[in-house]
Amino acid sequence: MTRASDGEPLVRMRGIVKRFPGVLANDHVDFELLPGEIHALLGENGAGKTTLMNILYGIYQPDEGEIIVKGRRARIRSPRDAIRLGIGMVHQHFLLVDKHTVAENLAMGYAKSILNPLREVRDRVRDFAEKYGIKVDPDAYIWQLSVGEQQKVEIVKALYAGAEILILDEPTSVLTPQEARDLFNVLRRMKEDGKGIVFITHKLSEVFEVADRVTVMRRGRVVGTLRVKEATRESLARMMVGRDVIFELKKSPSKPGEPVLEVRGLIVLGDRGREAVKGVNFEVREGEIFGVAGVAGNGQRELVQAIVGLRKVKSGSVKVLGIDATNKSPREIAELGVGHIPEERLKFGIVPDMSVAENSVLKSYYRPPYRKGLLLDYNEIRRTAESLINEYEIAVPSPDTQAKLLSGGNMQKLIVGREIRRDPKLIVASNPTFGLDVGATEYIRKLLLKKRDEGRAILLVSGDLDEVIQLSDRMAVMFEGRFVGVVKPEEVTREEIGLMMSGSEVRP
Amino acid sequence: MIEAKLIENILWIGLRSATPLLLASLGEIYAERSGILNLGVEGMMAVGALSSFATSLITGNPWLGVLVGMLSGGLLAMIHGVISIGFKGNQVVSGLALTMFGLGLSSVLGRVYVGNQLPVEARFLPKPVEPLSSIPILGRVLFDQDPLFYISLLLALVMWFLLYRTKYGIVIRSTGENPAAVDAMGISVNKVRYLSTLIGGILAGLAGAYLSVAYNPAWIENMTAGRGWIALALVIFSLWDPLRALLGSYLFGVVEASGYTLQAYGYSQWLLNGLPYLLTIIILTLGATESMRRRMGAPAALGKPYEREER
Amino acid sequence: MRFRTIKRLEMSRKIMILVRILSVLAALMTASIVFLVYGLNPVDVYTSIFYNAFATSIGVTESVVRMIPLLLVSSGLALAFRTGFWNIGAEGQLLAGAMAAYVVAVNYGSLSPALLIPVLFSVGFAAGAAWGILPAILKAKLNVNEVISTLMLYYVLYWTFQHLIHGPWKAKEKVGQLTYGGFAHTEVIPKASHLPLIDGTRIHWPTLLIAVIASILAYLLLTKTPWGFEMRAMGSNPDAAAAAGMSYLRTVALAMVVSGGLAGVAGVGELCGVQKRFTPEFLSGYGFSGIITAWLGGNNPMSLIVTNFLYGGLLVGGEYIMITYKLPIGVVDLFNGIILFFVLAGEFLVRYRVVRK
Repeated sequence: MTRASDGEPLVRMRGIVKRFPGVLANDHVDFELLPGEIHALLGENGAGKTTLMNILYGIYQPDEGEIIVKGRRARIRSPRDAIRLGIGMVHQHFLLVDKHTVAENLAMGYAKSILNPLREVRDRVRDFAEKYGIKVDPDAYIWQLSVGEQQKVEIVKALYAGAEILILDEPTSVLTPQEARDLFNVLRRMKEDGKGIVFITHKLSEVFEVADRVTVMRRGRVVGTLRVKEATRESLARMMVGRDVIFELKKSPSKPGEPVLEVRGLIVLGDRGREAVKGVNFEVREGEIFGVAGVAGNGQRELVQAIVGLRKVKSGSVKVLGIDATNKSPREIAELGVGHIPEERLKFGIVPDMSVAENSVLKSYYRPPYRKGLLLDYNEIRRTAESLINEYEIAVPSPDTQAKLLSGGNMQKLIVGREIRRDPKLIVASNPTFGLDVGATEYIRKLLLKKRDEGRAILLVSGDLDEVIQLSDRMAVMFEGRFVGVVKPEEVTREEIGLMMSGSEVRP
Repeated sequence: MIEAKLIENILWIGLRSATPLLLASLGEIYAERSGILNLGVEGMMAVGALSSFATSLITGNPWLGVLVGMLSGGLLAMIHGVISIGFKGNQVVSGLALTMFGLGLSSVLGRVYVGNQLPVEARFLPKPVEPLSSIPILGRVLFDQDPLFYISLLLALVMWFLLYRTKYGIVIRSTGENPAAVDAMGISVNKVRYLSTLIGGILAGLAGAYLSVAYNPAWIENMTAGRGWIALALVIFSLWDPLRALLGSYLFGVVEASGYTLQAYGYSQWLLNGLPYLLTIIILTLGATESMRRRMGAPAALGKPYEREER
Repeated sequence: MRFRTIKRLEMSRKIMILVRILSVLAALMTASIVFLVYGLNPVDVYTSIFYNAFATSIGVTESVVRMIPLLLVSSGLALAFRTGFWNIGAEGQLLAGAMAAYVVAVNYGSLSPALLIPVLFSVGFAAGAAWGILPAILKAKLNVNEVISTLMLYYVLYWTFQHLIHGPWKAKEKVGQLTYGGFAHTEVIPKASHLPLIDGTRIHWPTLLIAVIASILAYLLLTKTPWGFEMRAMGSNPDAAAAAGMSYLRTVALAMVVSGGLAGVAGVGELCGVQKRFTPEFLSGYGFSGIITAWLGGNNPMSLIVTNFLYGGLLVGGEYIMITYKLPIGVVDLFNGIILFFVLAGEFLVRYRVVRK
C-alpha cells in the first residue's frame, strides 16, 4: 500500500502551453500526480483544468512543454497513446454509445477475441464489481441506465484498459449527494490500490471531502498546489477567483402574487415512447422563483419542453395567465408572455451562422417594428442588438459578428437579454448558468432575482443544486418523472434534499 | 388465372434483378453505419459495370472482369472518402459529384463498347444445380442461378454476422453512432470510416459488374438506370440491417418483375419503366415511418464530419 | 512531416472567390486527361470550347440561351440549399412546368399571345411548385430523405412523359413532312404560345427577363424578408429555429414552392421559347447543372448571372466539341463531377488553414 508522499510521481507535466484561437488556455502549467493520491484540480469554468487533462489524455496537443509518465518522457498524440501509458479519463459528457449495451461499449475497445467478444467482457465486469464495489449490468443498454450508472461504466472502461492514472472531469455534476458519496468510496479503494486519481472540480466541498492535495488554476495558470489539510475554504476560494468571494447572494423576501403558470396532472412521453413526466402538479406565481432540482434525466427536459410547446403533452394541462397553453405551438406560447432560456445554448438558443443582431430578434423578427410589410427592417434590428450589447455588456466587436464566435458567457447573456427584452410574464430557465465562469454566472443569477423582484414569475430548472437552493423561493425535487416534494429551501437540509433526489419522500 | 410458370418466372427474374440492389445496399450499409453518407452509388456502379465489361470482353474471363469492377468501385469510393473524411467536405455534394463523375466516365469511356455483347465464355450464366433445381417453382428460382447470385446471398449473411456478432461490427456501428467515444478508446475513427467507405465502393463495383457480366451482357448507355438510388432507398428501408436489406431487395425485385410481366398484357412499357422509381418513393416513405415508429433511426453521426479538436 | 489543420474563424470573401476560380481551372486541367485518353490535344479542345462559346456572336447568344434556364433553376436551388433542403430533382420540376405549359398551349392556342404567355408562365410555375412541394411535405411530416425523393419524382415524371409523347400526345405522321426518323414527338405547339425572340438569335427574352428578376427577388427574399430569415435559420440550426417558434413545414414548403416554381418556369422557356415541341430528348440536364452553378455561384444575383453565363458557354463549347470530336453526352456529367470535386477540395482550404506540425 503506497502512501501519497512515497515514490516517484506517476505524472509530471512541465511548462505546458496551449493556445486556442483567441485564448491562452494553459499558460506554462506545471502539474504533478503521485501514486496512491487523489489530487483535486480546482478552478472555475474556463480556468484551463479540462484543457490540461485533455492534453494528458492525448485529445489535445500542447504547443509547448513536456509530459513525463512514470519517469519517462512521453509523446501523447492521441487517446490511444494515453491508454497505452495507463492513463484513463472519465469525461463530463460521457463518451458512450447510447444504442449499445454496456458490454458492447467495453468490447469495442478492449475485448481480445473477435468473435463473440461479449462473453469475456461480462466476466471482467464482474471482477471489477468485486474489487472496487462498482456495480453495473453488462447487458443493460446505455440509454436505460441512470446518469450515475453511466458514469460507473465510464470508470470501468478506464479500469478495463489497465489505467493506473484516472482522470475524472467534474464527476459529481450529474450525481445525487448519495451517489457522489458512493463514488468517493470507490475512488478511495482505488487510491489504496496505488492508483493516482486526478479529480477536476469547481466545488470546494468536494476537495475537502475526498482529495489529498489540490492544485488551483485560474485563467490558464496554476495559482498554487497544497495539501488539503493545510487549506481553508476561504484560501482556496481566494486562489480560485482572485478576490474574496461572497458565498451567499442577498435575497429579499418574496412577495408572491397571482399564479402565472399552472400545471395540472401533466404526463409527457419521452423520446422512447415511455412516460418521462408522470403526473406533475405545481404553480409558479408572480414575483417568485420556483426551482426544480434533480439529477438530469429525470424528466426535467421533457417537462420544460412541454411547457414551452416543444413537445406534445399526453395528458394534463398547462395554463399561462389563466389561458390554456396545452399543446400550443412554441410561437403561440411565447406570445402568451412566456420567455425561454433553453439548456444547451449552442444547440437551441442561437443560430450560430447568423449575426448577433439577427439572433437578438430570433423570436420577434416576424412582428413590427422589425418587420415592415414584406421586408425586415435591419436598422431596427441592429438598434435592438446594440442596446442589448450595451445593457448586458456583451463582449463582441460588432452586431454583425457571427454568433458562433461569442464565448459561452456572452452567448448566454445574449439569449437571456433577448428573452427579457420581450418582457415576458413567465421566464422558464433551463440550466441557465451551465458551463459559465463565475462572473457570468453571478450576472445571470442577479438578473433572475431582479426580474423576480419586479414581479415576474420564474421557473428555474437546474441540475446545479446550489443554484436552485440559492435562488428559489419554493422548490421541488424531480425524480423519475415526479415531484418528490415541494418545499421552501430554508426549511430543508441539504441531506434531506439529497434523499429526495434519490427518490425517498421526506415531505409530502 | 395465375399459372405456376408465371410465378416462377416472376420470382426468378425478380431475384436476379434484386441482386445488384442487394450488393450495392450491403456496401452502403457498412459505409453509413460508420457515419459516411455516400450518395455516389450510382456512379460507382456505372464505373464497375464498364470496367468489368471491358475486362471480360478483352480477357474473356468474367472473374477477372468482376475483380476489376470491384477495384474500380473501391477506387472511386476513395475519392469520396478523401473528400468527406480527409477534407471534411460536404458529404451530400461529394456523393453527387461522384455520381456525375462515375456516370460521365462510364459513358465517355464506354462509348466504344456500345452495342457490343459479351461472348458466352466471358459471362456468368445461370446453371441449374441438379437435383434441387427440379423442385417446382422454388427449384429454378433458387438453384438455377449464376455464381454471383449465390455470392450475394452469402455476403448478406456474412456481413450481417460481422456487423452484429463480432468486435469489428461493434466498432463500425459505434463509429457511426458516437465517433467521439470510439476516438476516446484509442481507435482511429478515420481508419474505420475509410475502410467502410472502401467496402461500400467495392460492393457497388461488384453490383455494377453483375449488371454487365451476368444480368445484361451487352453494353448500353445508362446501364445502371438509377439502381444506385434505389439501393440507397433500400438502405433506409432496411433500417441499416443486412438481413433486412436481403429481404427488402428481393421484395423490391419481385414487385418490379411483376410489373414488367404486365407488359405482356398490354400495359405501357414507359409507365412500367417508371414503376421502380415510384416503388422507391413508397419504400422510402415506409422506411422513414418505420424508423420513426421504432425510434430506430439512422446512425446518429451519419453525414457529419468528425473533428477531435472541438472547442 | 505531419500536418495539422486549424479551423479559420473568418472567411474572406476574396479568398472564397479565388478558391472557386482556381477549383474550376484545376478541374478543367484534370478533365484534359480524358481528352488525352481519346487521343485529343487538350489545348485544341479547350481553345475550341472557349472560342465557340465566347468569341463568336452566335456563341455568346447561345450561351445566353443556356443561361436562361440555368439562372432560373440555380436561383431557386440556392434558396433551397440555404434552407438545408437538398433539391436534386429540379429536372423533374422543370419537366412538370413544361408539361403543364404544353397542355395549356395545345388547348388554348387560339388565345392571343399577350394573354396566353403570362398564363403559360403562371401554369408552369404552379406545376413546378406542386412537384417541388411534395418532397418537402414528405420530409417535414415523415422525415423522408429529400435527395432520393426529389430524384425519384423526376424519374417517375420522366417515364410518364415518355409514355405521353409515345402515346396520347404523339403527333400524327403527315405525308411529306419531316419526321424524326420514326422517333416519337409531339406536334409543334400553337404559334400563339411561341415566345418572342431577340432578332437573329434564339434568345427568348421574356424568360430572360423573368430569370434576371427572379434571381434578384430570390436574393431579396432570402436576405431581407422574414421568410428568408426563417430559411437561413432552418438551414443553419433547425433545432434553434424550432425552439424559436419557426415551423419547419412552412419554411421548407415555401422554399420548395419557389425552387420548384422557378424550375417550372425554366421548363416553360425551354418548350415555348426554344424547342417548341416535345421529343424524347427534350431534357438537357439543366436541373442537374443548376446544382453545380448554384454551388459555385452562391446566392447573390450578380455572381449567379456571371456563373450561369460562363457555364452556359461551357455547355455551348461542350456541345461543339461533342459533335466535332464525337464525344458522348456523358462528357458534361464528367465535367460537372470533376468541377464539384475540386470545388469541395477548395472549400476545405477556405475553411481550414494547414499548418506544419
